Amino acid sequence: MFNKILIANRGEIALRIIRACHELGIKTVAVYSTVDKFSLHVRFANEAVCIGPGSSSESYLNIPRIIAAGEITNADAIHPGYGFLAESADFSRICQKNGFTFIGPSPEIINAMGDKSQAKATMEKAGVPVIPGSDGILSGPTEASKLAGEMGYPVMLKATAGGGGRGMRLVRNPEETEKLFITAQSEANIAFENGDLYLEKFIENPRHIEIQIIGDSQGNVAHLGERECSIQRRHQKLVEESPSAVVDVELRKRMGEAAIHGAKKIGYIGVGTMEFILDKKKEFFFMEMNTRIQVEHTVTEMVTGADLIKQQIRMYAGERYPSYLDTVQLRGHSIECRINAEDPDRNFIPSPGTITSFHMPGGKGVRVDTHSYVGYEIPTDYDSMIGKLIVQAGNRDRAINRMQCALEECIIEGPKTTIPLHAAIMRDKEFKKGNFDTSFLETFEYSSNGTIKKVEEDREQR
Amino acid sequence: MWQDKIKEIIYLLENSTVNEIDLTFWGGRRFRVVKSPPEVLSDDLDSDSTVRMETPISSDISEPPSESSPKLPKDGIEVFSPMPGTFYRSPGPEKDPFVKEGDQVAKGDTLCIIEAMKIMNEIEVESNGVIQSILVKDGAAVEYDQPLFILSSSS
Repeated sequence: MFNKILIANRGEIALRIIRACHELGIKTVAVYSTVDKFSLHVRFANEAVCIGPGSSSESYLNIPRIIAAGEITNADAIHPGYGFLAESADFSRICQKNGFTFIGPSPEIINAMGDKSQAKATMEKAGVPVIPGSDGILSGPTEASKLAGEMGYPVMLKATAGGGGRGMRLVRNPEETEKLFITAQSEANIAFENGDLYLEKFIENPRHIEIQIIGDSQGNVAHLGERECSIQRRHQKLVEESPSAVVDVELRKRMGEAAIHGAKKIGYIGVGTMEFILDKKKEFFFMEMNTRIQVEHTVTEMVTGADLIKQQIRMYAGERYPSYLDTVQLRGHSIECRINAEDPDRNFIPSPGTITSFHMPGGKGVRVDTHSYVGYEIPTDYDSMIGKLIVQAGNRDRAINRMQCALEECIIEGPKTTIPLHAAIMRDKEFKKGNFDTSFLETFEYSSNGTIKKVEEDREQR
Repeated sequence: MWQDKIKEIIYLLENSTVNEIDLTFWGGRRFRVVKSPPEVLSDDLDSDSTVRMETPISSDISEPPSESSPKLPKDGIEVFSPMPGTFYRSPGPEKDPFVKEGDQVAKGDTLCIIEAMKIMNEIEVESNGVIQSILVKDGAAVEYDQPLFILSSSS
């Protein structure tokens, strides 16, 4: 087992990793930018090293400085968290080269899944259902038009180096294909330094269902059930839950087995997530794989009893995952709300500033993962997350009820938060019925006097 | 509460040879408790040796605390580390240090090496001056923004 782990991240996930390490008896090193000097992860790690100024490129994204911090503290492993360098094949390689175990997959696996078109081809070979589309990278707008004509519009042009909603263009009509191809390509060149595009059938208003998997170094892979992540705003998840209201035992089994096949095919070690989209007929298709721990790992932890960060660390220390995970049952229902410092009345503009009051709920079935506290100044340099509020209860209705009560108990003064939006989602009839897809949040409108009301929109228009 | 903590600190200072304690409380309230005030900080210091408490420096925790050392002369400037790593005073083992206290340096002169990932990064001074103090031991770990040297301007 590792003696000392350096956490190459910040905020709530850094604190989460520190907690898991301390429970495992592993010493921790925090790295921080000058702007994060008063951050909780710096306080609670055994050691902390300042690595640069506020800008991410000079701190949390700066590989040499992070490695240097690992050297001067004699860390033996580095945990990248999520975001930042978590899916950087370079970082994985450089950590290894400098004698640190990277708590994440090898550079080859990161690259294989980071190239979206290649990931799709790999999964297809493993027998995982994929969205119908081009056979690899498009040679140009002509090929795009031809394929789209054969498949039927609408289609989605996607950057192979993109992901998470970036570098995509929806093409509804043949006339737009060439123009959108060119803009998508130049955008991809600028954003990812790779203008390669592939094409996919566009599935209208799907549900986003992902499967958590875990793999050990002996080739064993288990799945830990699904997470429902359709409540998104501009491809950013806001509310997640496990299990999904529309996934029954049989569908879970099929999706889980597909995820296991895919993971075994690439020899995946550690924790990872297979993202699928579910269409109206409950057919599922592989979308992408995230080769890291995710923000919403918490809801899976609640319904399975597993500690995913501890297990992740153990996997990279060469251990086997506990055998109960091979046949894990999902118990009860868990929901997570991501509380961000954003103003829902002003189009979610970030609302940084100092937190002047801070009370988070507690009690049975209520969990709070946060790095915030009274007096904490939310920096403008990074994401706007204040914390995650997670509930668990015996069934979905009770979980929704518990979340409503927990949200009411929250007191956060200083910045504006997304709490009113979460409360509105929990009250929503369709949400309660489990009847929603990734277009759900588009039907919400915010009035200027602070109330959030749902706008009934004619869905057929879209 | 914090007032009691300050009283404890004052008592500690009075009964030891420690001259100054700088403390920051959870939430950012910061105090510096000084026994005999430093020589040239400001004109209205009283020079008697009873413990003197300064007003809180900043209760706005967004400001990182300043790292000024008690010996900072009026025209002194600090040289901060631009990166984390290991601090070396000489170009190599057995070699003479780049600079010693009292040395005159010119802009662009190498002051030290900070090593990371097996790369020896030479740290150059940004202005002319005289090395007043060297704040870090040879071979010690340093972090970003850590003060390494104090220079006073040459004249």
